[in-house]
Formats: sequence, structure tokens, C-alpha cells
Amino acid sequence: MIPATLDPSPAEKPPANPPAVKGSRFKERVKDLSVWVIAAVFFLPELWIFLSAFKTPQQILAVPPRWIFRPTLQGLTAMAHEGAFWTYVFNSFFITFTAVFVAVGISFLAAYGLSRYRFRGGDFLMFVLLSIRMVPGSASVLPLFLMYTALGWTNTYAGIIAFDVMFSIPFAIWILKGYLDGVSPRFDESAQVDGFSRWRTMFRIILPQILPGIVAAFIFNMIFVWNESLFNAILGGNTVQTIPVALQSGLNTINGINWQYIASLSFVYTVPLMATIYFFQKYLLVGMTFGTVRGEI
Amino acid sequence: MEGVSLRGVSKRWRHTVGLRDLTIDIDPSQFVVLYGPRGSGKSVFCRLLVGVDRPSQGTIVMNGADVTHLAPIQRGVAYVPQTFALYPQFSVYDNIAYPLAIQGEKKAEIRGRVDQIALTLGITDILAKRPDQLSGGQKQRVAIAKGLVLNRRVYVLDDPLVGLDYKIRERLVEELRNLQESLDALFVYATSDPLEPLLLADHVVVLDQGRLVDQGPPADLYFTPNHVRTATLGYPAANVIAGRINQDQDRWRVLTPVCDIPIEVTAEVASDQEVLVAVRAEQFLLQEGPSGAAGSFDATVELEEDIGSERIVHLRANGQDLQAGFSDHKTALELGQTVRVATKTSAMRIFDQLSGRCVAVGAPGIEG
Repeated sequence: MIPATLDPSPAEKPPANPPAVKGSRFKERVKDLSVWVIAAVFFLPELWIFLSAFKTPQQILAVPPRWIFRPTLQGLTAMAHEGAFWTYVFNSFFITFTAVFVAVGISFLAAYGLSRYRFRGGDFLMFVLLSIRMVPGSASVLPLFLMYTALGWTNTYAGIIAFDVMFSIPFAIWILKGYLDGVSPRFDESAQVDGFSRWRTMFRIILPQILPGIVAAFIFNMIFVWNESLFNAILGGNTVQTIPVALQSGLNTINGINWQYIASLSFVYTVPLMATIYFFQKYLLVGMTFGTVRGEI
Repeated sequence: MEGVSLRGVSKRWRHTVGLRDLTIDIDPSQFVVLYGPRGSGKSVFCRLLVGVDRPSQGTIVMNGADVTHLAPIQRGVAYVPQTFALYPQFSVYDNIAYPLAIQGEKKAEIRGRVDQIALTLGITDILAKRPDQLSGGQKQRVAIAKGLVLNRRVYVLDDPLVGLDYKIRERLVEELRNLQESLDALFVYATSDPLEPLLLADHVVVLDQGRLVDQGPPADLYFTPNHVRTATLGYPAANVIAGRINQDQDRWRVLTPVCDIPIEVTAEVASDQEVLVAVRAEQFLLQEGPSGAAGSFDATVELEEDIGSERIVHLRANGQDLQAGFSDHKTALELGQTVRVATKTSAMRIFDQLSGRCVAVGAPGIEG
């Protein structure tokens, strides 16, 4: 199984056949345009938030919405001067990257084991793994809170990261095992005959071949951990708050909803995630092992 | 003891059997070819020898030491696997050089060895490329180079030339032969090609359904096969005709649709036992004049192939298709023509239909 995850970028697709009939070029244009128009409807809320980050509070609430305005950094600078903001940003980055890095690392080792050592009940184990993610968060948050309190893990980075790692691992293992199953065991054998140790085989021979899988696991779990707010709010308490938790609390201030703050924070919150995914997207599409094993693909 | 020994080696999986109780002693410094059809256990044999699989039963001894449970690298065996895997992230050069580098060879030494083997296999110009930029044949040659670059006492090559085009095959067969002689090492080479054993081997081992059924020097096996599977060696393969043993007082014969053949029994047989008769294409002779001698029959000419050194004539006799090889080009044959054919009955081998073992040989009839 090699999951085709994100859409391939348009540049990678072969160009469409040139239209045979005169005038159908215009039709093509209309089609392209309508695709974008329909897509725009879905992206409008995102655009509204992004634009709002550069508006004054009055402009944000103006009806009808103003699409053309003089951008201001008022909201962003006000937010940057607030001390807690930088804590949120640091927490979000630190927790997300540490948790995902640790989770993908552990998952690679586990997935390699599950892919290469076949044992009775292996498939069932894979199912049980994923079932961790089937339990609704609202059902598991209370028991977890009690456990965390008993262990004294609430309000700690380690506690939050441990939770995010635990929640990321099942999905990462599923993704990585799919990719690892696609790498022929002949590579392991070859490496064994060549005198590689098991570790060297894993990291020098196998790992480079499943980089797209590693990136996929990284991206999906990053989206999850970056957006996770329920467990963070309850297990993290006040000290280890990430941006999404701050966003929630920003909704409920005494003076009503501070839209400028929310728009600015949302903007700052979304951009790093989008940038990371955009940057790594091309790695998702690269498969370089095709045809290097005889008799197999 | 030098060389390689397998003692009662079996390999079984849950539903299949790869090798059945195989015992063999292989002398060092020779070219051994494992011959058999797909699924006969050649690859399993190779993998057990290399150490990427462990036998279910039995022991493997190399140069006097029990290596049954040793890892491949500890056995000191070079390996060209059937389904080879080139590391896609390395260049061709690094693919070949990496095992040497791991052994701690010096850079200059590695360079020299890789260049040498690349020259032999004609892949010098692709050393800088990556495996995914190569054609199938090039990849295969890189895989061979990767196995042969190591200095080992034992080389295991699992069907390395399959699918390569004719010219490269011909050249590589010669190169492999030379290489084995100059290295003075043991080569174990698996193939299902009927010609390669004759071209390459000092010693041929014939496998069938996981069993060792025949072994010996190629010439011996070609002319006196001890198993019906061995009779498929060479081109064209021996004609195999189904027949039935017949005993008339103390004279034994095989009755076939084509002709009756007098035999000398070499193992226990019963009257009416079903057997297979192997006749080499070149053991048919065009006969002129009177008929009636043992092993002669009428046949119609169906097709004629002239391959230069000989003519291969496809004959049909009483519903049985036969291929005959004639070295003379004089007698003109027409399609559909009926010819009288004689056989050297003394060169025939008779096999039990069930076990495939040789149970009798042809008795002299008329000799050309």
C-alpha cells in the first residue's frame, strides 16, 4: 500500500492533449475558471481570516465585507507586544516538533519490525494500534486527566509531549508500514550479504527509500499535533498552552469577541503549517525505488 | 575438508517444500551448475548456501566448518541473487564499491577492483549513473558486478543471465568461465537454461521438485542421463516418448507408438510398467533401403530448421512429435514427405514414468 496522499502538484502532470477543435480552447478556459471559482467558495473563510489579520476592528466587522482596504499591522504588533503570545508560539512549535519527531522515530522502528518480522496476530496488532485513534477524545480526556493528575504530569511539557507522541504513533506506524512493505525484503538480504549491520541496513538502505512516507507521517501528525486543543487545554493547564488553546480562550473575553486578536493569531498560527507542508509536498510524490529490484516493482 | 557439503538439508515452509533431504559434497575450485525447472529448488539451494535462509533440517559445512547458523557475512560467500536489489540512492559505482568499503578496503584498491569488474561486464560508462536510470540488462550486469567484485572462496550466482540478450549472454558465459578459472574459486551457478550447464559446468547438479536427481560432468549427463529431467539438457532437448515395458520370456522390450525397442534392464521393472524413453535428436538416422530392423519407423516431415551446423527436422510418427538432428545437408527433404528413420537403440535411456529414474538402457539394434 502506498497511500496517494496529497494531490500531485499540477506542474508534475503531463500536459493535457491540445484541443483538436478550434474554439474549444475557450471552453477549456471557462472550465479552468469555474474550477477556481468553486474552489474559492471553500477557501473564502480562510481568506477572510487572513485579510482580517491586516484590518482594523471596524474594518473586520464592516458589512458588507471590505475586500479592498489599506492594510495595517496594528493587530499583529499589538499581539506581539503581549507577553503570553510568544509563550504560545514557543509552546506550539516546541511541542509539535518534539512530539512529531519522537513519534515518527519510534514509529519507523516499530513499523520496520512489523513489516519485516511476520508473526501470528501481526495484522490484529496493527488494528488494535489504530483503535487508539478510534476512541473519541471527549471520552478519553477525563480518564487521562485523572491518570495525569495521579502521576503529577499535568502542566508539564513532558506530559503534553508524551500524550501527543502516544496519539501520533498509531497513524505514523500505519503510514510507514505501508511504505516499508513496498520496499522489497531483497534489499535487507542484499545488505546482509554485503555485511551491513541491522541498524545500518535500516538507516542507510531502507530509510532513504521511504522518505516520502516519513514526510507523509510527519505532515499528517504535525497537522494533528499543531491543531490539538482539547487535551492541551485540559492536561496542559495554564502553563503549557499552545496557540489553538489560546484561540479558544480568546473567544471568551469579557468585552466580547476580540476579532482582531483572533484573526492575527489565526494568521500566525496557519502560516507555519502551510509553509512546512508546501515545502515538503514535493517529497511526498517522489518514489525512487521503482524497478531497482528484478521481478518486483 | 575443503569445499562445501550439505548433509540431509531440507527447507520447508508452512505450505510448501523447497528442498527435500539433500546431501551433496561439492569440491572446491570448480564450476558447479544447478540445473532444473522453475520451482525445482535451485534458488532455495542458493539462499541456504549464502545464508539468507536457514535450513529446516540438516547441516551445511564449508571448508570443514559448520556454517548452518552463521550469518551470510560470516560465511564469506559472494552472491548474485535472482531477484537482485540495487540500492536506489547510491550510484552504480557506490553500489559495487560499498561492500568493499565496509570490509575496510583502501580507496585506491576499491577503485581498481571496481574499474576492473566494470570493464569485464561492460558497464564502465554507467558507473556514475543511478540504478533507476539503467535498462534492465544494465541493472542485471551491475548486480553481477556487485557479487563478483568481492574476493571470496565461494560465489553463488542465481540465474544471473536470464533475460539478457543473446550477445551479452554469450560474452558473459565466456567471462564467467574465465573468471572462475583465474579466481580458482568455487562457483555455484543456478539456471533453467538447457545450454548453460553444458557451456559452463565442470559438474552439473540436476534438481527436480526439491530433490537431487542426477549429477556428474556435463558430457556424461548429456549422453547418459540418469533421470528424465537430465534429458532436457542441450538443444534440442532429447525426445521423450511414453511407452510400456514388455517381457517376452527373457527378452525385454519397450513398446511405444513409434517403434518397439529392445532393452537391457538395469533396475527392477515389471511387465506393463509405464516408462519414458529419451532419444537425442542426433540419434535418429535417415535410412534408405529395407526396413524392419529394431528401432526403425516411418515418419512424415513436418518442419525443417537449418541452424547451420545441423538441420533440425520435426517429424511426426504415429501421432508422436519428434525432433531429429541431421548433420548432413545433402539429402533434400520435402514437407509432408514420408521418410524411413532408424535409431541408435543402444544410446536410448529408459526412465520410470513416476520416479523419473533410469531403469533400463536400449539394447543394440542396428547401428549406423
